[in-house]
Amino acid sequence: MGLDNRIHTPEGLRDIYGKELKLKSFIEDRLLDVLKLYHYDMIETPLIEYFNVFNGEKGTASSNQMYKLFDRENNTLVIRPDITPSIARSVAKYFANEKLHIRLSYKGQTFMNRPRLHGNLNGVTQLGAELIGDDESAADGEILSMAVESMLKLGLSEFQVSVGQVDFFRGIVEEYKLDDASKEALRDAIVNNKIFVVKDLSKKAGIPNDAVEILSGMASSFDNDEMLAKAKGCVNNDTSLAAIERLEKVYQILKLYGYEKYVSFDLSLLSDYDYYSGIVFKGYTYGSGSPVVGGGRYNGLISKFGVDMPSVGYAFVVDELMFALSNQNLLLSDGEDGIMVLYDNDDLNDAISAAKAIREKDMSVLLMRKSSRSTIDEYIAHALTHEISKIVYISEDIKLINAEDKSEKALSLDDVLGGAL
Amino acid sequence: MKYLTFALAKGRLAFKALELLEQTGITCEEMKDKDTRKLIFTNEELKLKFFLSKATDVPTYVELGAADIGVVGYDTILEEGRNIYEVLDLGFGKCRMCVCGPESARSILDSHEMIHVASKYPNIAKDYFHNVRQQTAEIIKLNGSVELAPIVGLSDVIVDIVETGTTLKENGLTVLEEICPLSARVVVNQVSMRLEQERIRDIITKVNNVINGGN
Repeated sequence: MGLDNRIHTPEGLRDIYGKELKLKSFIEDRLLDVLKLYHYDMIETPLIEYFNVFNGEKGTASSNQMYKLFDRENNTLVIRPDITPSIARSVAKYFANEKLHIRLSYKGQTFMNRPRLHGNLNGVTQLGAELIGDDESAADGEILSMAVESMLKLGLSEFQVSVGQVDFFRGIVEEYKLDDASKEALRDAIVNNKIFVVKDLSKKAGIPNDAVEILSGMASSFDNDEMLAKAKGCVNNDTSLAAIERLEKVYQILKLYGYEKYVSFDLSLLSDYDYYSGIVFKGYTYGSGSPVVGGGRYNGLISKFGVDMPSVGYAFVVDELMFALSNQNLLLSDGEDGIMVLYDNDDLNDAISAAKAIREKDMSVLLMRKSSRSTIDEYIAHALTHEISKIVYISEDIKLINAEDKSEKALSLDDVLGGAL
Repeated sequence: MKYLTFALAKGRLAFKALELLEQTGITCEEMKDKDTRKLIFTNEELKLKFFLSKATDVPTYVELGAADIGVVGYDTILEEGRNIYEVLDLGFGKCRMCVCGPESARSILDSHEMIHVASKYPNIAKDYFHNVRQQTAEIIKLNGSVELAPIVGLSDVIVDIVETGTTLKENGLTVLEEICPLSARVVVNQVSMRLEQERIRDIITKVNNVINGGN
């Protein structure tokens, strides 16, 4: 199929423009607002990195999901599948001797080479935060609160952040002395919510029913205190108990922030990756088939780059939020309202003076010459698609046209230059 | 309240799944009309929607969130490899995924030499030969009547679903190895599972009570 690909983007990748790009910037701006409020410093890492930065359980993508290329020395490079490993690399390189906590944030495109025709994007924008060097529950609470606050800032009202603690599972594995194969089978069943398999495997291992309920997510409830008490009652090992105590502390901190009602504890939430070591969470809202945010504590990650530092963070997938916001018909008003200055060919001088005067008042001006081949109505429609409601039409006389109801009002040039619009 | 949408794999599975749902009090009268040309059916009272789709598409609808819940065979779940929650084994539609062929093909399996495999399930076949048997296999994707392949010499063996084995026997083929048992499963979108937790969990519990008699 010799398709002419000059005008196409590679599969799974696309152009974003117009209203969609505005929506995207709106989302990014709200998320960045929160990062600013919590004083996280932006860091920019390269789009292309050595394969070794992401290889060996350091990133979320498997080797065959990464776009790879080679440099002149034949080193394998990848186009980053996510950004957290790059941050860990940077921290190991620039902040190894930092004694105080480090707060970093990032935004960038990430790429995954996924199976064809699966309906998923291969390139998405991730925006996130990492709090490094702080192993306390206050750090977990801060990161979770920022994730909740970001969703609120976006105008989302129906969303949920599910929070798990991977050490709870780890403790159960130790308590019931599961071998590696049964541990992996059980983890796979829990991660994929195969409730019947979890029950089956647990029965074989002698794990009691109430613990199975917790592990399979069937016991998570809207009453978080009750849920944690239940979880505490069904285990008999220090690791799992410590995990629950940690969640209790995090819950107290969320209460201080006032965000506890958006969070629900769910111990069936595990990670496929061994470097996750404490809380793990995902945020869900209507209109997107995947979580819009994910995160957790990964104290083992930076040590893979040679420096031992605890870290907790989150990453929003901006493209999933775009699906969610547009499917929920959340109307955005960015207060952005420009003016169209439309002029006949002979009135260029007045038009430029008018545009300059309006722009000096910090309003955006779309300056357009009226072609004799297009009607006023076409320009009105054009204004509306660019979310402009006022048109100043300069011809022999000057008119202010309201694009929404097409009403007209006569103006003088002095009115326009004086800013009387 | 929002609608919960069910995607059911067309055919016998959908029929049995609806029967099962009916026993839990979830009905869809619209769907019983055999002559209907509607594609999507609604139960306004319970705020549920149902649609039938090709089995292989059920995991796609569920992963991308176009359906909240799906009923589909384990064979399709394995083959499609989608990111979905597989919450319940319904226990019906029981059969096996097998390597089949003429008795003479057993020697190729035993000798671990390069083998030609025809299947409607290329991913399952590849995973089995590659990761489980660690045998080099040339996988040929077919779309139906897979039993023909070894008869006309297109392949040495096939990987396919075996229910009774009658078709195999009539064509001089036999089950050489079993890959895994299969049955109908309930799958759920990961976001729906969290946001509609109460309603979905309630449905799962009720269905589970019917099939397992409360155990």
